[in-house]
Amino acid sequence: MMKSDRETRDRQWEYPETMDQIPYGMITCLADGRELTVNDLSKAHVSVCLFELPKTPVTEVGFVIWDWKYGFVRRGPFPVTDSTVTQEPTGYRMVLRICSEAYAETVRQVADEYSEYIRLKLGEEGNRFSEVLTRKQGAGSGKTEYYPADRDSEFSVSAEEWQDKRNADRLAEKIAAFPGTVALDLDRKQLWNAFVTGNLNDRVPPALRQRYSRIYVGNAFCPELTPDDSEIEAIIRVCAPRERPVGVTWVTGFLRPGREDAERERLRRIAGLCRQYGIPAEAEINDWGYPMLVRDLPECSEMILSYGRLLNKRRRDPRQNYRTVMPDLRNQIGENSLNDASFREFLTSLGISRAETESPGYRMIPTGFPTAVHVPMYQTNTSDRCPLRALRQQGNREWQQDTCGADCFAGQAQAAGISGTDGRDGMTPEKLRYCETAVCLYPDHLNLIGRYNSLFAMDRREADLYADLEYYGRNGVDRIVWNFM
Amino acid sequence: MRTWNITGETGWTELSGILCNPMRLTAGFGSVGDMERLIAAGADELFCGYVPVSWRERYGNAFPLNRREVFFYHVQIGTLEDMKRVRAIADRYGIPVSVTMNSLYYTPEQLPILAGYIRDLHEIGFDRFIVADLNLIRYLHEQNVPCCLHVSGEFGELNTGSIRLLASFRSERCRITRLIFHRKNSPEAMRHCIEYCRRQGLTYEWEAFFMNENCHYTGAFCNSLHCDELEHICRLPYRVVPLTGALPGEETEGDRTEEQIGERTEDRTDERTVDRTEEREDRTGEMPEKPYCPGESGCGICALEDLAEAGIGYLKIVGRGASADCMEQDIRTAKAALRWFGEEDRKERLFPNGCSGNCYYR
Repeated sequence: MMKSDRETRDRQWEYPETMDQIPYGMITCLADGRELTVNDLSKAHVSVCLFELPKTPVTEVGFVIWDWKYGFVRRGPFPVTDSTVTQEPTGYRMVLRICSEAYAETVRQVADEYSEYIRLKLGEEGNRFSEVLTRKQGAGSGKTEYYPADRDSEFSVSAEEWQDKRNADRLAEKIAAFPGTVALDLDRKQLWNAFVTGNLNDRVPPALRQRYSRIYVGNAFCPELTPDDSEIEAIIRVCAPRERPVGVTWVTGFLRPGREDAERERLRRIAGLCRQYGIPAEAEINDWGYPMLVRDLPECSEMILSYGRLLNKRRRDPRQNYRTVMPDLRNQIGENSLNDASFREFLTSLGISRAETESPGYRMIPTGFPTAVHVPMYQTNTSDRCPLRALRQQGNREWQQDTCGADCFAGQAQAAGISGTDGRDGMTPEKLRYCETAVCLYPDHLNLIGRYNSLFAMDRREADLYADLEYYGRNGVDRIVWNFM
Repeated sequence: MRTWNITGETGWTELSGILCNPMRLTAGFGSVGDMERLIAAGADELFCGYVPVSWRERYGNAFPLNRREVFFYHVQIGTLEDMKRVRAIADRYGIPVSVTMNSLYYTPEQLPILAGYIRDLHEIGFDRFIVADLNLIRYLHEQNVPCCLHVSGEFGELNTGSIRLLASFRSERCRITRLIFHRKNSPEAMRHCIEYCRRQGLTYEWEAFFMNENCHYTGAFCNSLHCDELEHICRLPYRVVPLTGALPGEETEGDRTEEQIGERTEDRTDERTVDRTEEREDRTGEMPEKPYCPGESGCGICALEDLAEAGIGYLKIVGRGASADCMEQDIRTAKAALRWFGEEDRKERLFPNGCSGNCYYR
């Protein structure tokens, strides 16, 4: 190390002689064949906690420390010059003295990292700490992307502008060329009603208007956004065999306790209507309760069940790509439970024969299940209650009262036996469909939007996404589902 | 005085003249040094995370073992040696300790690793594990790994269907013994599930969240990152705007009057984010200066009687990673709430300066 560098470092060395209370993940001591928690340390010693005395005198120690660039790395071994052991109420404390410049440098690195972290978290405004820390992860690796904190203040001025900036027509053209089925995700009342009245094409990218042959009806994330009985029948009538048959997948959300009987009835009606009109019944299920509900219903014995997006969990965050993933984990990041053959067998035993997933901004590893990939939006977060409603009614997302269903949709509320009028402000259910009238926009660079009870991000990788879709098409993905922003 | 509709069953006890399920406090801790303080404050049970070096070296911050891929906070026990010390303290005070392994999913490679950790911990006396991933539950049963499983609030919705599915897992040495409701279940929903189990002869322990760490979103449906280098997604700044571009004939927010929709476009961060420094200092043990407000980040105290009546036996005080000072005060507050069970002036006594209003169950 150059003298000037060391002087700079020494000036930064503003910590007490001994550091204690060091978080578990920053440094762990390896001694006597054991992993030991560091109690305190300095440039000349380390104190560790043991449950049992060491079998032989400790003559050297190593360390595992966190490094933003490389992950966990090992340091040492360093020779121990002297040690003392004292008994404590639960085990022993061992102080090891180490005289080594390399050890002192290790301690300095830990101290610098911790000190910088605290300084960034407490002292920097906004998400500047994310910018610094993600930049450190990429340093020297050729990775140029880091969290752009200075762009956190850039917002679209309207939902329309947000959509315009993300013109997805080019992606739609690629999807039109997909060899398998192309479907549309009609996740809200306006969309499925537009389908029934023949006005849907106004919202569908031109390349997909004549291309889609299946619709998904209902909402995977908000159980209140489901078609009522008359809408279900109207949709089935339109889909029933004709010149251009359209398949239907009925999407269910999570299943609120207390709604099981109502939902069982709804599934029964759907199965009955599908049979009546000669349409195969298929349902995307997003709650572990549904397989057992369906099992109770002989009418649903032929219903195809698809493992839904809320159950098919994986890391979904638009900031994922700002982080550095170690090379040997890059493939594994694309895996989840569905890559486990035993789990797929288990799902099959529950009557589940398909899966739904969303393109999360990185390539997923094929699973062996017939799969539908939803693009370009993917869910990151969902609430049982409605943050948007809480925000509009109370000015704060945290104070979420009751369930959205209590007053978002009178029909649903009635079905659940809940009063349809909110007594607090006297608004009637018809006036409370906040999800039809407002959204939350996030900083533009995140491609993140808050709709109804959820957050969604958009996979905007373009070239990589096209390549992924082609790859999926060769590896078990038989459907692409276009979801609307 | 309220009427209590509770049948006399074994295990029920009397609190403030009311027959109800004896409720115990289960509290999270992030380092061995905090345990005795929490026990002294009145915790009846404890839980912690365990992330050994082998997991950290293999998966870095890419795969959390239990939902928190953070290394710069005291949120996990990081060595088996420390888990032995945890066991010794737990045994000295006769306090059960559960270990949480509640990530929403694991990859196939990770399942045998987790089973290995459970076996290691079982050898030194731990037998309760909090899990959320159904595939892990399936795997542990299939492998007959010795353990009692507490199904985490991160599992997802508990309803009669999902409970039936969980009840179908049976093996000689691996049993599901407790179900934990998530923070957004109402006491009525809990009662619905508990009564169903009673009717079916399914005997589970029931746990509900009681204090801290409320969130706009539901844990089971949260697929975003919780790491050192990025803010939680629920704390990012956002702007509320009217939704336009509706189909012909549809009403949009633009068609409504100002009175009907309240504010129009507005920039927001939630109150928790406005002064991040203040919050961090308060919850992470870095110079707490604000006066203590029980349940500031989430609270179910006012629903205590409803929870008891529903059949909840365990009240969770979350806060692995919070300062021991705050956790200790939270436990004392919760203990006082139990002591003043059913008393009408309890709220005034517990919150002399007013409460945060950050209710789980309102």
